[in-house]
Amino acid sequence: MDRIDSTLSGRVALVTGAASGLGRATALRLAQSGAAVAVNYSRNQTGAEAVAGMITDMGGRAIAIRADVADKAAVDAMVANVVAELGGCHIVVANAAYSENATLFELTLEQWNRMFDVVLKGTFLCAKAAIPHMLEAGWGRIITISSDAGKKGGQATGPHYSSSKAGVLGLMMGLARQLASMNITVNDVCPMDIPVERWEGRSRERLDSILAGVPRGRFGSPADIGAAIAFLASDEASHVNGTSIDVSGGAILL
Amino acid sequence: MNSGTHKQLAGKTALVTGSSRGIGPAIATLLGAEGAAVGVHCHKSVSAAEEVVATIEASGGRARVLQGDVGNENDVERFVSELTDAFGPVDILVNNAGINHFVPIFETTEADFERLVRVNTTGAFLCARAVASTMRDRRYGRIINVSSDCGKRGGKVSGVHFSASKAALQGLTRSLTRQLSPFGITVNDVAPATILTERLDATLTEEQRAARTSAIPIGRMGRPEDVAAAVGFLASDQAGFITGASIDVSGGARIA
Ligand SMILES: NC(=O)c1ccc[n+]([C@@H]2O[C@H](COP(=O)([O-])OP(=O)(O)OC[C@H]3O[C@@H](n4cnc5c(N)ncnc54)[C@H](OP(=O)(O)O)[C@@H]3O)[C@@H](O)[C@H]2O)c1
Ligand SMILES: NC(=O)c1ccc[n+]([C@@H]2O[C@H](COP(=O)([O-])OP(=O)(O)OC[C@H]3O[C@@H](n4cnc5c(N)ncnc54)[C@H](OP(=O)(O)O)[C@@H]3O)[C@@H](O)[C@H]2O)c1
Repeated sequence: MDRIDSTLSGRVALVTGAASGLGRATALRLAQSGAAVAVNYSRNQTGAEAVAGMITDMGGRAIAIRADVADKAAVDAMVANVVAELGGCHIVVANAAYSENATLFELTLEQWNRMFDVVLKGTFLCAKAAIPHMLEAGWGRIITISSDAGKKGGQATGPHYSSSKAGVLGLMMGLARQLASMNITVNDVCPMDIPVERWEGRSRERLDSILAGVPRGRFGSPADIGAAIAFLASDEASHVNGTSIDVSGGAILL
Repeated sequence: MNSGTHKQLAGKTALVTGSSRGIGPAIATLLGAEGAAVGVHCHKSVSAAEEVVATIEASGGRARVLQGDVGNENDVERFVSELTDAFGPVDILVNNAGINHFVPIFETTEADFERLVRVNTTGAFLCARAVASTMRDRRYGRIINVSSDCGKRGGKVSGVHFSASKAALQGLTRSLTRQLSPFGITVNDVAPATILTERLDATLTEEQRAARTSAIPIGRMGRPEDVAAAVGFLASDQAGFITGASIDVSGGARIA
């Protein structure tokens, strides 16, 4: 792993849920642009430490840091630690989430509440904890991660996942409007059909049927998400605010 | 919309959450005038809900008061079964109950966030779940969610939690469109911008009124009846092929 550029040198990024999948690729990509990275996890400590290790091995700065994003005290403590150890918190990528299939008929209130706590309240808590540090630095980037299910509704995906992910987009736009004059931009990246570790075990038929819905004709990679996030985090994107970038190979159009 | 003697919602049962004041009474009254038996629901304003019921009955319709917190699972199950016992299974659900909160992000607490999501989004989920099984069995249903302009572009004066909760409600609409439309249930959204309810009318200064009006291309603020008309259309048979849609009732406004 090599440095790509220095567009983020001097910046500190917190990436939630960065022990695996898209969060992992994002943490690595931001480090490749020179950011110091806090690699958050809630259970996967081994994964998070491996990501932080890869960054330090390439000469970057990184820490693995535990917090359940749904827990306000844990989030506040995490952000305070990031600031203490890495010297700021300029970029937040609110990526932590999980998905779950359910029909409306069987979905319980407990499932609904836990999903909203992690996906929607978790995004709010992480943004809110970091904003004072962004104001202090006079510069900030909040990047949320939504989903095609939030924009188009999911079929098998539970209503709680689709709804909370749509809520992330409303939160992103509300934050963008309220923070626009403070040199903090707030944007979203919307991934769709990007194979990650948790896809292992999906059958060839299942993958083929998903691929049939990707106009580009091949799957995207986690690095494609990292690239979009690195762009939004950069100074070049300073006039991009309140928008969502679909990274779907065109699948979002179907 | 009411074409003489034929009432197009005759025989239907409608539940309108939060129809004790503001926009809700206009929706309940319109559905009642179209022949639906209406559950006029409130959280606390029972006497206001009683007045809405009286208005519907005075013009020959059927209605009853329902009371409960839409964010409370037991309350929802209870008032839905009260309505079902009185008038039969719910054919039309209008998720209108909602709360706003005008604070900047710096003053928005975790408790504020949870409260708005619980009422504005979780409430709609619980009500939809409580009526969806009988709609599925009868292969007919109309679910209409009253969201907000803020869910589509983010509010500046409204809190970020309001925008988030209403965008989430719009996402719920899209999810339920996919899951319920195969059973003959349509699911749609109505997104009002500034609607001059009595509450708003009493609090706006002349300057605020002028400022808001000037931001609306049509040159006036919306009325509860404007929202009710869109809901009434989506509830009607004419709208049977419309599902997963959102109707902006905003006079063309972009709230700045
Ligand atoms: N892959 C896709 O095609 C796709 C499509 C649409 C949207 N997305 C979105 O992209 C993001 C990343 O997903 P992914 O595909 O990379 O899946 P993933 O590998 O499962 O990544 C999600 C990460 O979130 C963490 N996490 C879960 N709950 C958490 C909590 N309460 N607190 C802190 N961390 C938590 C998990 O780590 P722990 O095990 O440590 O909890 C995990 O590393 C998610 O927001 C997902 O909804 C992905
Ligand atoms: N007015 C606008 O400009 C505007 C703009 C965009 C969107 N909207 C949306 O339109 C809908 C109606 O708004 P409105 O202006 O008519 O509001 P409103 O005048 O404040 O009325 C709110 C209604 O919701 C009920 N309610 C509040 N909390 C509840 C709870 N926890 N459980 C059950 N019912 C509850 C209230 O019942 P009680 O009377 O018993 O308290 C009342 O009937 C809301 O969803 C709102 O977000 C309004």
